[in-house]
Amino acid sequence: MPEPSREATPLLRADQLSTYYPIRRGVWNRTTGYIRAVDGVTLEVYPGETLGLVGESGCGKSTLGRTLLRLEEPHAGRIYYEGDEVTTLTERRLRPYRTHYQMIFQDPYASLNPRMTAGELVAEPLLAHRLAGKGEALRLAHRLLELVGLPRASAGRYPHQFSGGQRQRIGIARALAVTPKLIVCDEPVSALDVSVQAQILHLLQDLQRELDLTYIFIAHGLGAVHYISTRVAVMYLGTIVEIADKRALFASPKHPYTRMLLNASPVSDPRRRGRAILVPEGDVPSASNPPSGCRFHTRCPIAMPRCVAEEPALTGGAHAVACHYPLGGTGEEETHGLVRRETAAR
Amino acid sequence: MKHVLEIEELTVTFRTENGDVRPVDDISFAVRPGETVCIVGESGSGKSVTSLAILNLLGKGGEIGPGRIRLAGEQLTEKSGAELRKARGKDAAMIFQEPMTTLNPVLTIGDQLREAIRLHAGLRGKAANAYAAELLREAGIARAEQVLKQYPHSLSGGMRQRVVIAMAIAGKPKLLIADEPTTALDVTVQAQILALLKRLRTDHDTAILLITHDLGVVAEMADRVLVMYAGQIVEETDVFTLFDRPLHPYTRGLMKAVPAISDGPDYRLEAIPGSVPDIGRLPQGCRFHPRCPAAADRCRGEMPTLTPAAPAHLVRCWLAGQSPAS
Repeated sequence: MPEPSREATPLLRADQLSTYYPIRRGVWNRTTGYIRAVDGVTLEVYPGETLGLVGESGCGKSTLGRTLLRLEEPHAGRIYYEGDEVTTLTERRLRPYRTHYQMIFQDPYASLNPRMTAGELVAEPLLAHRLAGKGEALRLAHRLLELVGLPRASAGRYPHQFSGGQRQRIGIARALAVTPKLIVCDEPVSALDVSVQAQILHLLQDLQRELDLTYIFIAHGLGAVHYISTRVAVMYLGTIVEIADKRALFASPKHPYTRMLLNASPVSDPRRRGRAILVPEGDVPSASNPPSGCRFHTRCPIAMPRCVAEEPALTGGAHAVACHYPLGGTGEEETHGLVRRETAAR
Repeated sequence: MKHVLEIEELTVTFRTENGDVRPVDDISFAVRPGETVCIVGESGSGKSVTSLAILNLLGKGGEIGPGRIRLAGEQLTEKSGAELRKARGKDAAMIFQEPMTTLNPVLTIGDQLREAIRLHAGLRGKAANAYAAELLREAGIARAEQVLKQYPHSLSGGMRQRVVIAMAIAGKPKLLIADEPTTALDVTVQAQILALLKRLRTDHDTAILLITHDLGVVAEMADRVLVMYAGQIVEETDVFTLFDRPLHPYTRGLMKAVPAISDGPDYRLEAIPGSVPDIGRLPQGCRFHPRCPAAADRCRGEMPTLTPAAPAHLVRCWLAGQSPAS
């Protein structure tokens, strides 16, 4: 995989980006509050890299992905595509950028019109963006279907005639049709059979190399994120709590939440089942009324008074962490009094 | 009692417009008291249908037969509806992937728990109330009295699954059948629920039949593992042997296809080609042969039987006795 160049202009940049959803109540549908799905996220995505975005349900990772593509209206903050600000561009002015920034979804079945053939589905974005005439678009669609590993005959078949893995291939071919530079992959393998997931991960890797693609790879499964990512960002309650090169993040997580997330993931080795498992206490607080200071303080085993009062900024350069008392050392040793709780019965 | 659950030559048939299909095809296995047996498989493997058949929850269209299911020493396949309902909850209870399939949205947690307690523990009134709170605490819920008054929708997914587990253990069942109990949960909540299941096993000697697609969960939980593919058991052994020396090419393939978190150099996953077959259109011979890297002529024509390849290690593969297929 080519080393992404950090000196290059970021392909995509978000500056203090927030996406809020209004909570409406009562007869008059008055807005009584906001769900702060994404709350002040700053990040950069460089050409050629895969930025993994992980976090548990409700952390805002999918909303962030959609907001970065302007599929959701941001509440505040700015979005830049290759240095150009696009936050408030009208749909018409946004059009030339749209082709460069595409998305693939978890459930390809839900995102594919069942009445259209695979060929028509892949040709559709070309026609919608007026990049090709009908004949040309269908010809290109055939080539794209072949590129994603589907047999030639599949162009005339309908979505229900394909397996889940094949439908995800159609979804990928659709995204590729408009020759994007960046693709947001939102849980692209989560709905697939385990034995098929690797095929799709391979396809994404091969396409990245062949077509110089950049990915934002959103997933809750840490295995796939570890496998495919160059860098990884960890989200909690609408904010990024840690972002670093994959190796640094997995080998020496600095945020207590990251450490717990890694620790709680099942390991495919029965000889390690006796290990101490450390998990955050209680439930994730509501995103409409996030805790003061550090949002993780209500569940953090090493929270101090400062964590309640003061929100930590995401700092630290290449391995940035939003924590007043970041952890040091490796994931295996006890540090900073992080209490190990034996939850695993032997 | 040697086994809590004994299944012999179980076959389940569904009648469809396109003819009969057999999502479960001649399955035999047993679960000992206090043992955790994992059934691992993908969509269409028959793992969930097997679990539903045990408690006769298949509904219309699904027929058991031939085959025998013995629960706590009693033949289930010959029981009437009422006898079966009694056995469910007392001898065996089931928890599902989505707790809301079990919980009634318009009743409080207390109402539902007391109902389970009345049916399976024969307690009413104050005694039932106290036992309900005790069950919730057993399931790891600290604010038990408060939760009893709440409705399911006001609880998180992890809390709901704890409530379902509390209901399931009301009758102190000897066997808990858990069908993907943590698949819909986040990893930190999953870790909590798995720890809870382990504690039930150690504290009460509850046997657990855990159905999952996740090899990580298998490695964390299982004593013994059954690997299912297209309605059949293709490999069965203890968890350590399975991870150390998997013999079936499908098991090997699954293990190599799952990305592991390691600090080793970048590597390429090994994908299993093709996709899981449709149970209505199963291939001739070994059902895995179209996707198998080692398939030989015999595999295409003749279905392998489940045979011991080593002591207590069964495998359904013509080539398993030979040098390992790579």
